[in-house]
Amino acid sequence: MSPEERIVADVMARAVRRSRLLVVAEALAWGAVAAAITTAAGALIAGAVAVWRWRAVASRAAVLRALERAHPEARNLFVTVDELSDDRLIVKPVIRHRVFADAAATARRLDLRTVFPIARLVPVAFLACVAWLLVQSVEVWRGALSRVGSVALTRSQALDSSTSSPARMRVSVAVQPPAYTGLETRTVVDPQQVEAVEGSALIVTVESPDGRVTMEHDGIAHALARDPGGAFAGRVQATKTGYLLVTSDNAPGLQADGARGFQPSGNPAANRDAGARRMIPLVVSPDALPAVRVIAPGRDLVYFGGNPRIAFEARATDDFGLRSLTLRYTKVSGSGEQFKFAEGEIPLTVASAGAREWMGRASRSLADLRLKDGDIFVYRAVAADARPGDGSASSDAFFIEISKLGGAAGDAFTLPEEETRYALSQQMLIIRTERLHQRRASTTQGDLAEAALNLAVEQRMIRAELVFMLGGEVESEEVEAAQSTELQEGRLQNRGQRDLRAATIAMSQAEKQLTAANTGEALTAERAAVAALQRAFSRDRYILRALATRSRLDLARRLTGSLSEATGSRRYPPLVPANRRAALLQDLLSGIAGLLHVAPDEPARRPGAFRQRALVIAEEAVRIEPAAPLLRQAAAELQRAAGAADDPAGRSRALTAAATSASYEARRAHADAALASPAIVPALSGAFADALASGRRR
Amino acid sequence: MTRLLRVAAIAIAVAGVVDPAITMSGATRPRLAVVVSVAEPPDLPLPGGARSPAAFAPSALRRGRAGRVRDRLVRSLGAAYEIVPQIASDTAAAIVIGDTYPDEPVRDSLPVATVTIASETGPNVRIVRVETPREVPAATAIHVDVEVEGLAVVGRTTDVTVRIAGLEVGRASHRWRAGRERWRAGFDVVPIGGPPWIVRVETGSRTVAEGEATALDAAADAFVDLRPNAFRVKVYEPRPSWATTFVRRALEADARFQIESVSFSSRGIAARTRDDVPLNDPRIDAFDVLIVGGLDRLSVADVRSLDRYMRERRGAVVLVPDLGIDRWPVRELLPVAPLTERLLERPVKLETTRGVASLEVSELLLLASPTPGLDVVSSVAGSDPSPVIVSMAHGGGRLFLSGAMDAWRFRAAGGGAFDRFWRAAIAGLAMAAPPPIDVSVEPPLLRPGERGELIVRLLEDAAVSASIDGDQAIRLHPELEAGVFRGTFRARRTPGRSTIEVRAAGAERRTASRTLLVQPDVRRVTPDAAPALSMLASSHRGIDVAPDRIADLERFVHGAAASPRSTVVRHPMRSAWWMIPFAVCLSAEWWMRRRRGLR
Repeated sequence: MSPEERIVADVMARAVRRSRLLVVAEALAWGAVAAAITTAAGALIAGAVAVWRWRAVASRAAVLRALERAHPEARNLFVTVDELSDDRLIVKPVIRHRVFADAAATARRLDLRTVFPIARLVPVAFLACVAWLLVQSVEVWRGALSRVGSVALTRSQALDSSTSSPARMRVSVAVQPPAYTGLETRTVVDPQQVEAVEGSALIVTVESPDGRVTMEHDGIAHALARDPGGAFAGRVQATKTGYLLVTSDNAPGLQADGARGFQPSGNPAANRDAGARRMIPLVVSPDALPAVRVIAPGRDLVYFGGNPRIAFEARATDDFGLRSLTLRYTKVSGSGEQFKFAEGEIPLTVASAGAREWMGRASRSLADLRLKDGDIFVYRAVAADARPGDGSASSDAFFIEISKLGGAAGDAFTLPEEETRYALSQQMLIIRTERLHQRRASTTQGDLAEAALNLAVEQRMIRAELVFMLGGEVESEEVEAAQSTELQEGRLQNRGQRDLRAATIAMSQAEKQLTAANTGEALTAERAAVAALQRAFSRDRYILRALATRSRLDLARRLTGSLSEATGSRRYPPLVPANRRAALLQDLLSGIAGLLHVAPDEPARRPGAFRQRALVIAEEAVRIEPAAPLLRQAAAELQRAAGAADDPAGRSRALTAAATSASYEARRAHADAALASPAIVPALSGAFADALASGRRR
Repeated sequence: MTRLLRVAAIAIAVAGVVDPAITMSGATRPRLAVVVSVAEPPDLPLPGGARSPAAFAPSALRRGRAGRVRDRLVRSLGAAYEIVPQIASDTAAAIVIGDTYPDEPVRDSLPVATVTIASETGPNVRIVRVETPREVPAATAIHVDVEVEGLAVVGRTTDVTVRIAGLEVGRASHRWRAGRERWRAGFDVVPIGGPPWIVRVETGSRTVAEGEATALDAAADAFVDLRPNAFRVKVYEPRPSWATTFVRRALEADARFQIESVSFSSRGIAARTRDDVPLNDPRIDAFDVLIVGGLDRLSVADVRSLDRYMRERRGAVVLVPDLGIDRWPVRELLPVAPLTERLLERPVKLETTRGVASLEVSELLLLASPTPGLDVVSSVAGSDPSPVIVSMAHGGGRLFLSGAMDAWRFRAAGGGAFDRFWRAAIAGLAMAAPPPIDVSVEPPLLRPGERGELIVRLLEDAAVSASIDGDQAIRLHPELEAGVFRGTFRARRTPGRSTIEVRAAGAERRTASRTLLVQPDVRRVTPDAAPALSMLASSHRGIDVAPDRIADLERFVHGAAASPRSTVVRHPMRSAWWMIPFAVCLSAEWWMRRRRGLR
C-alpha cells in the first residue's frame, strides 16, 4: 500500500468512526429524553434512533456522500478511491496512483469536525435536560398549582428535609399492603402523607437522637421500641383515614389558648429544647366490593310453557382481584300462604381476562331448572373478591316466570297491595273520564265542566295519596327522616323512582286538563300515569305481596272504627349538636392568622416558638378531619412553614397556601350566609305596600 | 294745523277717559330657570382628623365651569325663553348646573334637567358602600356586599379583598370600562377567631402607585357581632303538608334554629311540640318567623292572627303553599295579581339573584312580573322570568311566599340546595325581625374618644335607660317615631371593647346589650356629600347630562317647555306716556296761535 493510499484509508476510517460515535450519542440523547417518562421507553427510543441513524448517516456509503457534499470540488474523488480500494474499479497503476495522490492531497485538507459537526447533538441534549428538569421539579410546580383550588394529594410526597423536617428526626414508613392485593411493599421517607390500601400494615421507623419516641395513631399514643439498629420502630394497621403523629421525647405539650391561638406551654427554655414532631396524614383507600351484573338475559322473562334453553352470562370486576363468580337463585312455587322457596346456585364457567375481570356463562333449560306453571325463578349473580371474610356483592335480581295464563310478569311478586290500589284507582278514573268524554257532545257546557272538575279533584286525591304513600306516613316521619339519606342517594337514582315521578307528573297534567274540561287530553295523561305506575312497580325487583291476588279488601269497613280515643301526640324535634367542626376550622384559621402576623419580609422573631406553633396548628388541621384533602394540604403547608421559619418568603408562601386551603374547607363547613332583607325602613315599606294595595282595591 | 293739534289733544283726552281694552293673541316666552348649585367638597374621614381634598376640584373651579355652562345655555336659549337665575312659581322648566340640589324648593310638577359638574378630578377608585349583617349566628358565613366607584380609571383592574383578623377571606377583580362606573361585588366569608369580627374591605395596595389622587377611600371596616340567640321559628300546619314538613326538617337539622310546630291531622287532633302556642296567643310574638303550610285549611281567624303578627310584632310569615291559594282566605294577605299555576314536564332550576341556593321545581305558582313593592328571590329562567319566590313588606314585618310547590321532591338535588335555601332564607327573615329591644350604635366602630350615637327601638311602650360599661349613663331622648330613642355618648379613651346595656321596664323587664369596639385605625366609607344631582332630574321627568352634552339638554328643554300661544287683554291708554303727546299737542297749538297773534 502506497503512502497516499494509507493516508486516504486513515482519513476514511476516522470519518466513519466519528460519524458512528455521533449517531450513538444522538441515540442516547433521544433515549434520555424518553427516559424522563420511563426507562423502558428510553431504551426503546435509543435503539430505534440508533438503527435509523446508523443506516442514514453512519454507513460507509453515507460517510462518502457526506465527504463529497462537504468538498464538492473533489468531484467524486472519494467515491472513486473507495471503488479502487474495493477493486470494484480496475485501472492502470499510473491512474490509480494519480487518483490516490489527489485523494490524499484533498484528505489532508479535510476537517472532520466540520463535516460531522457535534452541534447537531446540542438541541437534543438540551431537550433531554429540559425533560429531566421538569420531571425532577414536578413536586415544586405541582405544589404551586395545587395551592389554587381544592386538590387532593394523589401520592406520597416526601417533604423537603431542608425546609420541613427537623434534621434530627427521620421517619420512614414501610407500607405492606394485604397479601391478597398482590401489591408490593413500598417505603417512603419523611412523607408528606402516606397512602395505603385498607388493611395494610405500616411499619414506622424513626431515626432520632432523642431517648424516647412516641407515635400517636388516631388518638392512641404508644412509645416506639428501639430496634437492634438503634432506630425506633413501630407497627400500625391502616383501617381508616387518619394520621400518624411522631413525637420525640422532649417535645413540650402545646395547648390551644382561646383567641391567641395555639401557644407553646411551659417555660421558654423548655421550648428551645423542644423535641421534633411530625404529623403525617394517613389516607386509607378501602377495598371496593366487586361490581357484578347480569348481562344475559338481563331482563325478566315470562314463558307460557315449553322447554326453552336460557343462556346466563354475568360479568364481574374488582379493583384487586376476584375469588368467585356464581349465579344464585330462589325458586318460588305456590300462592297465597302456600309459598315454597328453594335456593340454589348455578356454577358458571368463568372466562378470565385477568384477576380483576371475570366473565361467567351457563346455560339451562326450564326442565333443568325444574320450573312448572306458576313458578317463579329469581336469580342474581354474586361475585366475591379475594379479601379475607365476606367480600361479596350481587347484581340486580331478575326473574323467570312460567304462566300459562299469560298474566303480567311478576304479578304475584310485584307491588304491595296499596300501590296496586292506586294503579286501579287511576284505571277507574280513566274509565270515568272515558265515559264523560263520550257524553261530551250531549252534555251542557256547565255540566261538563262540573263533572270534569269533580274528576280533577279525584285525580288530585289519588296523586296526593300516592305521594304520601311513597314518602311515608305522617306518624312515622322520623323514621323516614332517618332514612332520608338512602332516599336521596338511592331511590332518586332508581329507575322505579323515576317512573313514579313521571306518574305523579302525568297525574298533575291530567288534573290540569280536567280542570279545563279537556277530557281528551286528560285521558292521554291519565293513561300515561297508569303506564308509568306499572313500569315503576314491576321492574328490576320483587316484593312479596301480603295478600293473594284473589283476596279482596273489605272496603266497607273503612272509617268504621271508634274515634273516641283518638288524640293528638307530642313531637320531640331531634337534638342537633352545634356545628363544632366550623368552630374548629375558625380556630384553625385564627391560628394561621396569628402566624401570619409576623411580617412576611422579616424572620420570625423566635423561630423555635414559631416552628412549634406551626407544627401544633398543622396537627390540629389533620385532627379536625384526617379524611379532608384540603386540611391535609393545609397541614403539609404548615409543616413546610415550620421548616422555613428562618426564610420569610418561603414561610409566607406556605402560610398563605395553608390559609387558602383551610378557608375553602371552612367555607364548606359553615352555613350559607343569611338571605339579606332588602327593606331599609320596614315600616315605610309596609305603608307603601298598604297604599299600593288600597289603590288597587279602589 | 292748530285745529289738527287741538283735535289730537282732545282725542287723547277722550281716549283716556274711555280707557279702551284691546285683546291680542300670540306666542309668549316661557320662563326658564337656570340655576348654578355647587357644593363644598366632602370631609374625608382620616385618622387624626386631617383632611386631604386633593382628589376633589376646588368649589371655585367647579363654580367657574358651571358658570360657563350657564352662559352657553343663556346664549342658546335666551331668544326662546325668558331666563331667570332661580326657580319661581311661574317657571316653566328649570336647569340646575353643578353637583348638588339647589337651595330653593322644587315643586313636583316642574320639569328639571341637570348638568352634573363632577366633583372629582380623578383618577380614583373609592369604596362607596360596604354592607354586612349586624350580627350572624355561629357557624354561619358572613355576606359582604361591596360597591366600588371608579373614576377615570378605564382599562385598569381593581382587586377588592376582604380580610378578617388580617387573613384574606375573599377577593374579586374588576376591569373598569367606563370613565365613571360603579361595580358591586358580593362575598360570603368565614368569620375568623372570636366575635365580634371586623371585616376590612380594601381596593388594593396598588392604588397610589397607579397614580390615583387619593388612597383615603380605598379601605373600609364593617362590624359584625355574634348573634347569641337561636332563631325562634314556629311551623303551623292546619293539615299535614309535605311542603312545610321538609322545610321544617331542614331547619330542625340545624342547631341555629329552635323550632316549635303543630300539625293538625284531624279536627282537634294534632302532633305538636312542647312549647307550641296557638296563633292567636300573644306569646306568639316570641317567635321570629312563622312558617305556614296547608294554606287551604287556614281560617279567616288564622289569617287575621298572621296579619297582626306581621304588623304589630313586625315578624316574618312564610307561606308555603302546595296548591293554588286564590280561593282561600289566605289570599287576603297577598296584595298581588292572581297567581298562576304552571306544571312542567321536567323540573327546572330557579334563577336566584341574591346568592342563595337554587331550588328545582316542576309545580309552580307564578306571580305577575311587574308587581311593585315585590322583592323577587327566585324566578323562572328564560324569556318569561315570572317570580316564583318573593318577599314583600307587610306592615312592619315581611311576608315571604314560595311558589315552588313541589321543590321538596327535589330536595336531594344540587348538593342539598333545598335545605340550604330554606336555612338561608329563614335565617335572613329571622335576622330582619326586630327583637323586643333593638340596640344599634352609629357608627358601629368608634375611634378612642369619638362621639357615638345610640339608637334604641322598642316593640312595646316601656321606660328605657342605657349605660355604657355599667357606670356611665347615656341620656336617651324619644324620637318622633314611636318606640325609638336616641342618645349620644363618648367612646373610651383607649382602644378596647365597651358594653352598652339597655334596660326597658314595660309589661315585663327586659335588657339588651351590645358590644362596642374602639380602635384607633378605623376606616370608614367616604360618605357622599349629597344625593347625586341626577336624582333630581330623574324625579322631575328630566335628564342629566355632562357639560359636553348641552345639545341634548337644549332638545329636552324645547320639548319640555314649549312657547305657548296665549290671548292678552291690554289697556293702552293706561300708560303715563300719553301725557307727553297730550302736552306736546296743547303746547304746539298754543305756540302757533301766539305766533299768529291770536290769544
